Amino acid sequence: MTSVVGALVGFIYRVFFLKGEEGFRLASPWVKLLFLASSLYLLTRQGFQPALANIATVLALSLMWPGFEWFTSGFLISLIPAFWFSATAYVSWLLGLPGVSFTGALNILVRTLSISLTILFSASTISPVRLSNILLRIGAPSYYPLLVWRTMPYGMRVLLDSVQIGVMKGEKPHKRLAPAVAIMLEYGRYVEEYNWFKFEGKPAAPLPSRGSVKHTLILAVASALEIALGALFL
Amino acid sequence: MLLEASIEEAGYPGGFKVRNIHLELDEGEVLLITGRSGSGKTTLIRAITNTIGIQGGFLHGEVYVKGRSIREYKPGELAKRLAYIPQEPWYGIIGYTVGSEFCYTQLVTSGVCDMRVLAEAGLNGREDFITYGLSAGQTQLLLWAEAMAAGAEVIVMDEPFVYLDEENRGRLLGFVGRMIREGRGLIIVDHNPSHWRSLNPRLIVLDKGVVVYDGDASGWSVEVPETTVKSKRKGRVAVEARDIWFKYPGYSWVLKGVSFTVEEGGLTVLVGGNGSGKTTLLKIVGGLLKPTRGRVTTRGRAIYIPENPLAYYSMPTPREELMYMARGDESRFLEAVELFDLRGILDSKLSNLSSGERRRLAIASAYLGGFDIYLLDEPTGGLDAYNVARVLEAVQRLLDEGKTVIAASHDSRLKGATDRIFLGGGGL
Repeated sequence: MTSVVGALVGFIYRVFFLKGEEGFRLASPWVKLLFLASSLYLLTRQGFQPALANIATVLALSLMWPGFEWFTSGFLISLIPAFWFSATAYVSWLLGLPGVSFTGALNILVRTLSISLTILFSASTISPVRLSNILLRIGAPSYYPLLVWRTMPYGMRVLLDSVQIGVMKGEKPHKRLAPAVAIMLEYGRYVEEYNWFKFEGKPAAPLPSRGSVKHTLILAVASALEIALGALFL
Repeated sequence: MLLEASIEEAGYPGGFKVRNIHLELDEGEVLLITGRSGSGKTTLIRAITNTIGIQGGFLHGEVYVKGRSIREYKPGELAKRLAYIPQEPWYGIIGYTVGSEFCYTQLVTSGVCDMRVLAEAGLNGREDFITYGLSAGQTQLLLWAEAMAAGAEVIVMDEPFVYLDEENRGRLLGFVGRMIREGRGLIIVDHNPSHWRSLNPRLIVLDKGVVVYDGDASGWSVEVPETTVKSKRKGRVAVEARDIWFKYPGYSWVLKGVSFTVEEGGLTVLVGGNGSGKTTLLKIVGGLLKPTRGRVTTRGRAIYIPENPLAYYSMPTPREELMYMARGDESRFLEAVELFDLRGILDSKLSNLSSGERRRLAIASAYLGGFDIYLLDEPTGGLDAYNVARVLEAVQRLLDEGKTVIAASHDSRLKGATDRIFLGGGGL
């Protein structure tokens, strides 16, 4: 059980928090939206091929950035809902209840995998710095995205440490939530104390954010390709 | 005058207070505050930095920075004049990358972001690097860079050497020297005044919330308790690590081909610089991490006690934790209470225990769990000499019982306490 929890935490860390302000996070936000829209457009087409094409595109992009570790972790995490949905639908069919045949289950597997990978990839390209600047523009506390991306990996490590120590002590993983929460509460108290002027003050200007023409172009080409494939599969 | 504090009383309603403290800090002056754990150092710092209210405390008296009360400053304005670098530097960071953290702070304090100061702190080229991946030493250097870029005239540092290796200590002393030359003032809290003797600081010694010494640092000496342990090695191998390689996702190798053996019944200290893989190695020995390559074999059950033992406990109070680990056996519970001297804290909340108390309690709890190998991560970090001695007493109890202890630390006092050191450099 611990190794499952540990593996899941590791996958989530690699998918969302492995990289800093680089790669596709520096691509134009409009092109990121375009890519998301083109992926969803491709997925509106019937059959395996459009979904497989989208999976191949997302995985190819992920190998460019964030890299191989994202590729494997993102793929494995996406397989969880994909297998769950397809297997339950198929088993249901086998039991004579409303469900789908083997081919239908395979279709569910591929399409869920495709949707999940698209969502994970798009989420990992969100730039906390740009998000922070948007919040600053609308007058909201702009430190939120920075703090969330800063704190989540810390919280995940604490939870993992706590669960693993629990196993050494012969305890079940669920019993270890309380110590992890206690540490995060303490973390919150200290962060509030030492950063009070950052929370109560307001930045005089948006954070400097770089753009990457290279990554914008790659994402734009990938979007164009998906739209073309979508038209082809019509 | 950079800072003047006249504190009649500061503290927490119904709780600890410091009283009758008068401080002055001039340009280029170093003020060193010392005292045992619980003497009031942190409360005083909170009063000076205007953060005591955040912790539900109060300040009766006045603190002036550049002639103006700290209560009159806007948050960003005060941070521009007075920077506070906490003992655990990772709590002082909210940005997810080095660049976003540095710039956010500059934009709040100065209104502009000039990245050049990062280069002076040795962090150039790391602007896009995630702050979660920084070592404690690098995190502290980032906070230093922020303080320098803001132009803070008063720098308050709490136990700045605790998480620094020799290389980063040298870098920090370089910063301090430059600050003094530039006419800035430093308030340093350190349990070991000898770290700063070369700067000829003014020394303030606190005890039970009041000043017991105020004067030249050379005029004060403190009795250091005995801090050595006697190993009872049995000659049998408790831990054997062969050709251990390890890397975290997204990072380069932390451990490259590490091999060592540890005998039963002794204290072994793993020593290495910041980011050299001490904690990683402990976790691998304990089975918390799997090595990418290589093999670890252990004789007996191992337990890992992290730097912040809160992650170790299972119950909300020391009494419940010890009873739980003693499986309800009252006599074993009482034995541990006596053996590890925990009678005075049995019904305190775990979150209210001091660092030293937390560590002794965790060791006692693990002892009741019947473990054979104790993996202690920085067991003496941030503790005064008195509390180091008490933690080492607890370690001695384990050794007396024939247990094996492996500690990861760069605390020279711990290194001096044992005859078995595993030294690493540039990765263990």
